[in-house]
Amino acid sequence: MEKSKVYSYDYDDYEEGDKGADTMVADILADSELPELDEIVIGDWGDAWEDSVNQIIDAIVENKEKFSHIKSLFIGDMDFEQCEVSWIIQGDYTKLWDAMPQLEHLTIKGSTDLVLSEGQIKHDNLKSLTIICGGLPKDVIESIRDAKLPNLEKLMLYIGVENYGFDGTIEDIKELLEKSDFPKLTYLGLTDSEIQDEVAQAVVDSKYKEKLEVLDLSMGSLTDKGVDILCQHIDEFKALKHLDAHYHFISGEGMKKLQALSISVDVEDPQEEDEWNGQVYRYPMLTE
Amino acid sequence: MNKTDKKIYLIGDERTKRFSYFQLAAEQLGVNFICLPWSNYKRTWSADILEGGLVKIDPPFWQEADFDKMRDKLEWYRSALMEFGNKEAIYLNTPSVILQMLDKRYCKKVLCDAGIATTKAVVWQVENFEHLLEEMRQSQCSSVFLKPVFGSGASGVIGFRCHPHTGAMSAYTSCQIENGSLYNTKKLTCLTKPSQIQPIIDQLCKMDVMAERWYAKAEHNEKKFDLRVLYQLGKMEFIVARQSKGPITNLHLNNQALDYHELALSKSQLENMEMLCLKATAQFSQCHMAGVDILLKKGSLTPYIIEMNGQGDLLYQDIYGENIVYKRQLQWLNSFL
Repeated sequence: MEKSKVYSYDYDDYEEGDKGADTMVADILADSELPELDEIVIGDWGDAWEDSVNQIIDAIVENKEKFSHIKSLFIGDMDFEQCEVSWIIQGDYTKLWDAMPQLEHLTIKGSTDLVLSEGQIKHDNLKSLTIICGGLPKDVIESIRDAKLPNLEKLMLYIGVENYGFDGTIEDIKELLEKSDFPKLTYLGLTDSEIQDEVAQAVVDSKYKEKLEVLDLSMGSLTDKGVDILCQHIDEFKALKHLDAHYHFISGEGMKKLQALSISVDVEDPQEEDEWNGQVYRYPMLTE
Repeated sequence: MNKTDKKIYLIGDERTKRFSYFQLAAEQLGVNFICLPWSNYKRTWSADILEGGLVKIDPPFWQEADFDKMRDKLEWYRSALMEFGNKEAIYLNTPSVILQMLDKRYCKKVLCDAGIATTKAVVWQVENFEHLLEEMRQSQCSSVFLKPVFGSGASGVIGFRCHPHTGAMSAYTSCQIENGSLYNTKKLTCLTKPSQIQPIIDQLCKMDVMAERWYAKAEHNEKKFDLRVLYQLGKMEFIVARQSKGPITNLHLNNQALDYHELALSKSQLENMEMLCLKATAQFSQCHMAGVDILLKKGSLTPYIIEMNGQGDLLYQDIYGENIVYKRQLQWLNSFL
């Protein structure tokens, strides 16, 4: 069983003490359990809405030999009470890829000031990449599009909305799916989007559909339109075992259509549209 | 007064679950009591009847979403409690205790002065939106809960935060403004535009409002929770965990109650909470019962008292179960007969 540990400061640690982003890695290094860990989860590093994660990344890079056994890293595991996701100041991960060649799973929460790499991402062992945010910047999508990740099996992205950092369009999602090269990808999550039906269309048009075992289109504005697109093309998803569509705006009829498919389907947590001045609003989950 | 002349009175409302389950407990114990309905106060009964009696005071039953109207009703209620306080009687909780706990500012000051762990007050009296922002800047606190000093449950509560540098804001609230008046709804929304937030906060501040620090609460099954501890007659009688996806856990907002056993709190954690309740209730003379809202801080699970309620004893998990809370109250009142 993999051994995981969470490192997180609470309000008093940094408000009344002297803890912050600059002390986080020193505290991890001082932990006698570090050599036995497989996974490190870094939660709140203090004023996460003021201090970026850069000091943490830099310190990991400086001490890379001490982290050489870590297979899974999550940076920014905070809930909304600790810090709104759009307020978390992320950082520049350029040097991390070389510093942690053994890393298999990387999860990042927050997209403000997030730079995955100044150049091309190259990593031979990464199996899963997850970015949780209220809005994914276009340049981050482009970094992933151009990345060289030959062993990537799972890609999980929260697309989000414009107000929280998504400055792209459906064309950027289409390009990501067309131009990227992840030969082992079996789990694709393009979630939390206000254009979820269009995302569904982009996925059914993509080269990845035949190999996907899990398709996650959850937490967004998926409607019956998206359901029809998926159902029309479901036979082309030859390896698909599970469709995650929880948190959605699908009708009862639409849910029945999905549930009638010969794969497992999650359609929990149906949402109601908001109407304001004759306009219909469907808010993704991580934006309200 | 002759011993046998003493009577148990419940000042309450016969339409409420509080009344029906108190009555059920009385029937099961074979104890008689007289209900003095709030609706008949000063019509068929006056405060004089309480003299020499054994009294429990339940709150009046109001279904009022309009804050202005609620403020008038609260004023009426407080003056009634003050009148009862002039009568010599044995109270489960004296009118004075109920009044002290109705005043969230007073209650928090008492707890602070006694060094009891409670959520920290950031602004004792918020004048308006601008004043709140200024006070938050000065105290370097970017996340607060705004609360009417005299209010119950989630009524008027706003979880507000303001980014110290970018000025980005979010306000989690069930309040809405309609036709210039502030209303409570049962739906929690998150507002992010200052143009939406300011009018609500300004309107709320026309009432007496305080702001306290917003702490990250502990989680269970990816949901936030806090605890309502019913502490009465020297022990923790009942605990309900209140779960929520949002920051406000109050059960009126369609949140879920949870059997606290599922939280698997350790013996020492429970002992710490009990000690906290003991110390807190001891600060209020003649306090025999209090609903104590406690948050466990995320990570350390350190308990902090959010607020106390001298009438916070309506717990559905108890009344639909053993109804032990009301039975114990009746046994205690009956012991004076």
